Amino acid sequence: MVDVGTGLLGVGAALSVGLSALAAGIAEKSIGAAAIGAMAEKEELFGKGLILTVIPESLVIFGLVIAIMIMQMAA
Amino acid sequence: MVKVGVVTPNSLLTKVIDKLYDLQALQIEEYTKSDEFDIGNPLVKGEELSDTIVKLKSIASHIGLEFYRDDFKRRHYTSEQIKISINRFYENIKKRIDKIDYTQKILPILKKKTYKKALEEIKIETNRAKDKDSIHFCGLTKKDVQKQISEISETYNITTRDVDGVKLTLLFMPKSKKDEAIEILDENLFTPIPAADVKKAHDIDASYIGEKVNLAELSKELKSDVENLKEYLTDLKYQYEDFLLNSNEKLEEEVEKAVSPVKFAASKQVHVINGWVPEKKFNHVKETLEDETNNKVYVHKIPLKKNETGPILLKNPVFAKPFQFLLDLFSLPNYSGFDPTLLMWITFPLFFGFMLGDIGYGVVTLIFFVLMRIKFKKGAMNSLLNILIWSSLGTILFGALFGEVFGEEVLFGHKLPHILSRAHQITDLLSISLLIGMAHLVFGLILGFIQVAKDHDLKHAVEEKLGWILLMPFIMWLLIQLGVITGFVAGGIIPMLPPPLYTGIIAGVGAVLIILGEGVIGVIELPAILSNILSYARLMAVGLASVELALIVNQMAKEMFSSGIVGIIGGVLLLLIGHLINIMLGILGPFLHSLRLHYVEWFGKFYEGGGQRFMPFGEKT
Repeated sequence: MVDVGTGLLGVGAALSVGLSALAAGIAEKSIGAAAIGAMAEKEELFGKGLILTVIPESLVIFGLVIAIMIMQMAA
Repeated sequence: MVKVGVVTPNSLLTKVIDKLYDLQALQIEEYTKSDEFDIGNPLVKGEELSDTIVKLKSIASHIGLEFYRDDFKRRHYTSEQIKISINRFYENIKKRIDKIDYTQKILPILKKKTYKKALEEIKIETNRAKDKDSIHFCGLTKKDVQKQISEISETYNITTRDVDGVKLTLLFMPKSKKDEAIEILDENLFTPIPAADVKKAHDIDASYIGEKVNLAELSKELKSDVENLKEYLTDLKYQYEDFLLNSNEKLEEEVEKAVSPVKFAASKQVHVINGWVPEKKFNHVKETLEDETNNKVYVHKIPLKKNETGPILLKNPVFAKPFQFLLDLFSLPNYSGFDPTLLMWITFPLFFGFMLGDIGYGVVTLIFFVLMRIKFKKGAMNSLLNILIWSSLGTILFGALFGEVFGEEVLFGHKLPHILSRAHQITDLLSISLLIGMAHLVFGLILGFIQVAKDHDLKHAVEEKLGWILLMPFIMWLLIQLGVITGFVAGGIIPMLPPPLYTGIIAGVGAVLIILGEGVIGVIELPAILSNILSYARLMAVGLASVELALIVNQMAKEMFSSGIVGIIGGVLLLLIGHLINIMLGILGPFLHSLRLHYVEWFGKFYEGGGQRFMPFGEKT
């Protein structure tokens, strides 16, 4: 069994990834819907649509980096 | 690209158009009507051709031929040959198609005897009906035959009624005109109805030359007729497929040529064609046109107006060409912009491989994409498959570096040699990813520096791009201090970094340059470079997800293998399905993420899009 402190670090890491993923999801939802709408009218917008849609993805990456840093503390 | 003007006498216009079409070297610039020049009129032959095209499309739709195919044998036909053949073909096929349509209409009528009501409604003069010199016909015809009958005989009596889209015809004719009448009726696809029904309704013997009609047999006969006709049409399709496809191509070509003069400037004596020609091809175009017309055509370069630029023609080695597709998807570089296709040929598969990184997956996807490519020999799909083939090679390369086969690092008791173990050295993987990211971004910034120096001047280049590069040592130091970059990577970098004080001063100079170059917005933008670098952590993250998923599948399968025969079957199924799903995710994820790193992070440092694609007259799309 791990001690409570390590357990809390684990919870912290999970929250870091989980919440940032949720946030990215919410952000991408709106952008993605608008991008698909624009693409339906003009197919050439695929490139721009893709870029705009994936911009919030960085949020998850930040969350992941923080999670890894937290896990290093635990180890 | 050079801007070119071609001045041709009207008498030579057709010839010049033909030649330009074959050369495929000039993109026509549309002329807008002005006081000096009108726009040209389409060539006369265009209208005749469009009639033939309509017939051709009609034939194609009837025999089920589709024109999107490209894999037919090219033969040369003149448009005159095509016109005659298509007309004949059309007449021939039209009769048969009419017959099919008609037969399919009358079959249900005969089956349900829906003609009965109409038959009873017909009023006839009994006298004439009993006339011994008269012959009676009663049956279904395609259309009203009265007009045709009136041309062969003065004495006749005809009554028609509509029945579900065809005509019920009752006809009395003098016996002497029997043969001519039969001819007309045949032409109109006369189908007799049973004499018994006629007798019942009107008490006369009326039937096609007195024969007794058996409905069941007649239906059977008609059905087999339809089958035969359909078979005949299918045969036609295979027999004349090549001819029809060739004709279609040729006609479309001719129509494109015929309508092209509307893009030219025209006067009573000459047409002027303006357009763009690649610099290298200019002399060839000029000489060809002049030779062809005995120097009666004047080809000259037109000096560009300020800020006027031509369309873009990307030039890359054959192996890197497919990667142009990625630029098409985004936006072509502007006229003076840098074409990064060749660099993407290197970095795209490497990023993809870094993420998927597995010998097993690499080999499977390589085989799959090579097989797929046999089917798609041209177009965007072919480019995409070529990109994915290079990416599969990258996957195999990194699979070897990571020592992974289907997620496993140990195969038949032997540990595979590896440089880095992804599943266990997560933090090292993160450090390496960020290092790759930094290198990639610095590279992008250097390209941007060159671009700005070329387009504007050195001062702008220093302010806009060098500032960001100067920030890098500080960011590196920061990431190490924060414990994001750790392990042997950090150990290797620390000695290379200047002392913290100097790092800070260099970064300060960088920040000042950025603020000079971009103003207050520069201050807000400063953290963006950090987020750009951290974005490359996805190289680790996506790869890790793929490895872990593979390991879980393997682990579950191993446990199942130890529980008897059912377990073994289940385990094999689990392995197949699990890895299949993982491979599909492993193609989609790395592809999009690699693309994103290029589009968002890398292109942001130097790329300026907005170029127009060079589309020469005569190029097939």
